[in-house]
Amino acid sequence: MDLMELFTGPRKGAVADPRVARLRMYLNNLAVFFLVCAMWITLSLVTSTFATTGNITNVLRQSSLWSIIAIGQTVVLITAGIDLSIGSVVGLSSCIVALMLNKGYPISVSCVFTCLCGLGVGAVHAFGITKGKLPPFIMTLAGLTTWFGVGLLITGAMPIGNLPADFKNFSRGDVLGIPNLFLCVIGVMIPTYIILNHTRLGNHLYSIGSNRPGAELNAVPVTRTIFFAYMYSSLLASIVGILVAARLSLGIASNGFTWELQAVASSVIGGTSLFGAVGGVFGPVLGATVLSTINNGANLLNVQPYWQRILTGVIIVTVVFFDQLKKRGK
Amino acid sequence: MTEIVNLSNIYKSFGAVQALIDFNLSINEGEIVGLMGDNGAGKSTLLKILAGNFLPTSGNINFNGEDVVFNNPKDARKAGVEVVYQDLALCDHLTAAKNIYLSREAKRFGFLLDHKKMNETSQKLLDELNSSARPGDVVTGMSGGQRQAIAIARTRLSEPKIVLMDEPTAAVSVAQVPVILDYIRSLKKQNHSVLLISHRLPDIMEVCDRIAVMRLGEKVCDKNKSDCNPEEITGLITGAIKSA
Repeated sequence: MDLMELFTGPRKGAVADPRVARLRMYLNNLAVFFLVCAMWITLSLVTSTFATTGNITNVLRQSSLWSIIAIGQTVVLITAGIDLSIGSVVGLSSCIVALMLNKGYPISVSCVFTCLCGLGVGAVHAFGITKGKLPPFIMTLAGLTTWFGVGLLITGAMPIGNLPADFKNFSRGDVLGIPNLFLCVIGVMIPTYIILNHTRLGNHLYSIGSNRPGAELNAVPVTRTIFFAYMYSSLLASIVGILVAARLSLGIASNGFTWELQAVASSVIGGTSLFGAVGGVFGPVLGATVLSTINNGANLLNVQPYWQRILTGVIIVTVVFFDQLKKRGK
Repeated sequence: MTEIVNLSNIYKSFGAVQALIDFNLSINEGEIVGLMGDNGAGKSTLLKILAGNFLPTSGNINFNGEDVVFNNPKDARKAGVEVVYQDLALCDHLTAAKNIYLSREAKRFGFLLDHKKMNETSQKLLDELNSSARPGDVVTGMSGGQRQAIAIARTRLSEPKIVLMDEPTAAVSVAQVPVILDYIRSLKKQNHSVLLISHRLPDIMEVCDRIAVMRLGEKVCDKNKSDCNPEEITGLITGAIKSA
């Protein structure tokens, strides 16, 4: 095993050792994991408020929400696409579910209907990308403003409150001490892991990100696979929309504002490549934990919250810069 | 002998460019037909029509006794056409085994990938081709010969009626050329037909039964190998000889 490969990638003309490639991915995740640990230890030492049960649960709740949308974003990024509409879909979904609950529909019906709307939104994006041949960037950027507009329209730009107690309690509840929101993350990670690693669909997602024309020549159902990616991403965004509405007891179109970038950042911190075909489920969850820790730490240290947005931008550029170096080196 | 493919009056244009003009070709069961021609003669266009990537503008394809329309690669594959593309159509980020099985992955329990079976079968197919490529390795960084072997191994997953090969010996090492030519002969022994596109006249002369030459979208020669001589073929390719 050539250990230099760990840092530089396979040498030109040399056969890539799959063990090294796998180890690289583990090491990236491990590095991010240690980064989280280091941040947590530092914050516990410099602030008196970080290492309290209330605060830690808060960090985990925030990271749970971001983890779920980051997993959706990762599935899209694997196909060498991008979903910039996630934040708006979160907001729109929180409006839909709140409006329905307000009208007296049962919680289950409201949630299922909201998820169906999410699937519909994803289908619209995928339709534009496959049939309309629009770049994913443009299609979902249009989605970003469109779905935000729809959310404002159906609520009259007003926050929708007055939600049932059972609904609100879900986001604060736990099962055997494990917060419900974290259970939701597990509930998303397991099927996504199976899809990506152990199904034909997963293989097709990676093949499209790796070489789309080649996948087409090999009779991979490209259109259907891309529909899956965007519908899955929007579905997860809708689920997060529902969870946010429950957590804040509020449906409002600006819920999830700019979260699409949190999702991209979480995903790339977790080792996903913006150029497609590289990514898994553990990375985005770790990435989301990094971001929510930064967010929380900045608050506790009395740093202006605006810095967090600036930092997210810097992180995206830095990580993608190194990703690109890797690609060029090849 | 049964006719596997009969192309009649195939015409294909891309805008103002005429890629194929009234092209006729028939290929029999177990026959190896060599297709030669200069760059831009229309060889790859013809291959892509047979592989279901392009629809002909007009003309008829008869496959195994039936008139067919291949709307996409899947149709062609279902009918029994396997293809080795010039650029190989490999996904660099996937393992050799997943590339070989791409879009017809082995499954267990109806929906889970059968990694073990895919790796084992791939290993067997790669061994048959004398390739050092390992099924579990990702394709990134593999040599030209190893890549070629993976693309060829794909054609062994089914029992094809015909295998189309676009320049299979262009990017491989000298030592590997005879292995690929042997493989083509073994296809013939199993009664599969082969359409071999190549720039390398020695390869064509070695394995083919019949040689067709294209020039500027038209067929200018279609003869049994025994009736051909290399000088004539070269002249036909360059246009020094108009037709034969």
